[in-house]
Amino acid sequence: MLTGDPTRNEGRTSCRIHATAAVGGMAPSMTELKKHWVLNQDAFRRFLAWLDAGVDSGGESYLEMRRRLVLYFDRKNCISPDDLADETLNRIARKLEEKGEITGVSPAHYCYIVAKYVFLESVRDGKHTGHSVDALTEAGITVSALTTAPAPDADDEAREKMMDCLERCMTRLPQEEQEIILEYYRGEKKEKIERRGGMAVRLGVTMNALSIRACRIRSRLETCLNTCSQGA
Amino acid sequence: MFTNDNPGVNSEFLVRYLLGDLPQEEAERMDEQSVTDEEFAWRVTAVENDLVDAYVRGELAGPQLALFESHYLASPNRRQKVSFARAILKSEGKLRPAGAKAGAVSPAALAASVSAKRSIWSMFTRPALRLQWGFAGAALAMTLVAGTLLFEVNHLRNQVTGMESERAALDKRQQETEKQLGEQRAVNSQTQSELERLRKTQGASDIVESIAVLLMPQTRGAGQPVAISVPGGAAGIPARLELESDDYGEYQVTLKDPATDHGLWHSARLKVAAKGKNRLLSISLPASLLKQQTYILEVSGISSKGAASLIDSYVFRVVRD
Repeated sequence: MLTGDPTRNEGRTSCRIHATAAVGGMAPSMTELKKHWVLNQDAFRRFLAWLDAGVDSGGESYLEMRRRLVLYFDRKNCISPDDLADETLNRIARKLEEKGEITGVSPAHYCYIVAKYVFLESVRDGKHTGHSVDALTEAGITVSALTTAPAPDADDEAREKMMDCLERCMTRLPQEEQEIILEYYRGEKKEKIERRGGMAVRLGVTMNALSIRACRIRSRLETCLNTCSQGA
Repeated sequence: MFTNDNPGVNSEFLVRYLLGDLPQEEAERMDEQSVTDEEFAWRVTAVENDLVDAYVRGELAGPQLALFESHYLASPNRRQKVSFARAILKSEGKLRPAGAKAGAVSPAALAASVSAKRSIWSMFTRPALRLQWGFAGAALAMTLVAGTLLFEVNHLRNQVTGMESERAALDKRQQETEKQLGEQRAVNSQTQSELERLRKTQGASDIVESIAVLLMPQTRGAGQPVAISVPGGAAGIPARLELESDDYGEYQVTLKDPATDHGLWHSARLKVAAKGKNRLLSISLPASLLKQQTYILEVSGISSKGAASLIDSYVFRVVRD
């Protein structure tokens, strides 16, 4: 369910949108649409309706499209994939308000076209300086340091906080989803494959459907953990 | 080399995409699809999650490991993903579903119990392919067996009906034959009785023509030999032999014992007496030679040069009073 709360700030209107995912009853982190361009509630509703393509998703299409755009920009090694995703969606909403409609292409395809332009502009403007691991290594930052949880002999408190956050985020999930996420990613190699096959049979779904479901749950868990770890 | 087991996904291709190992054109195609196709986007995420898990478990090696560390880890977001995976790995076994107490059943058992009731109904509503195919196969097999049995039963029933019809026809034929035989025996018996009576009142030679036993050639026999009654005190037994053809001027009849093939009696040379269409030879068998057994009468044609040629044979049985 989406609610809009337009506010004015020194002549520049920004729109803070509170987006709540209806699935699983778990509130993701707040999504802010900050841009210079004025996006009022009507324009945003129009944009959501266009994105929904006639089927009211309660804001799910917006959240899903934003997720895909963030991943797109991230894979392009852009510095700020979230900002670029928001920029893309802003431009589309603005275009929709100016023109009244966007025809000849599906909403998803149009989002990709605009995203591609935004990416090319970011490269031109020097915002695509994704740091390579080699550059980081030269700066004395090792790969393991980048990826591990706080080392045992370093910050036990940070590690403890992460585990607490993980546990807290897990409890926010419905019990069935907790079981799925714990079971799906447990084990190694062949054991994991067999376990997943058994799960799919027990739940009466295909492997593909189970995979997507587990991904969605993990994605929400990751977002929750990141937010919690940052102290929000 | 790491491969993902997700069905319907070219996992190796997606891993290369995630590691930045695809040609630019292919990578752009994947980029587009990952934005425009929701299901594909989730599949890529699923492969990515498994790739990250494999990395934190130390399952990557060689070029894949090198690419992962040089390309994949270049992004802060992706490094955060790896940190999350490490946290999950470290918490494995320690985290339990909410509400579960220490020492409670494993998540696998919980998932099984949660799905237990659903799975019973899902046998009839969900595509439990193996069960459905099993039932379908069993039903098909039973149908085939039932069909085969029905066919066999019908076939056997038809055979039985046919055999019963044949037996009925045979029975009918046998009855008719026995009836004919019985009638002939009755006629012969009457003839013998009449002959006996006349013998007492008239000369024997006057009777022969009128009450002689008619014998047919063996080729036209009814199967059972004709029975000739020999009353006690009879001197001769008259008989008439019907010939198939009359090709000779004279004939001779020989009485034989079939057991020994010995000739017991020869007639004089006889001529055919025509009676309507029938060609008949009349003889009188000496009663003293006839015992209660079967005999054969052989008719030979006598040529102009005196040579004898066997023409027909006649079988009869003697019944003595």
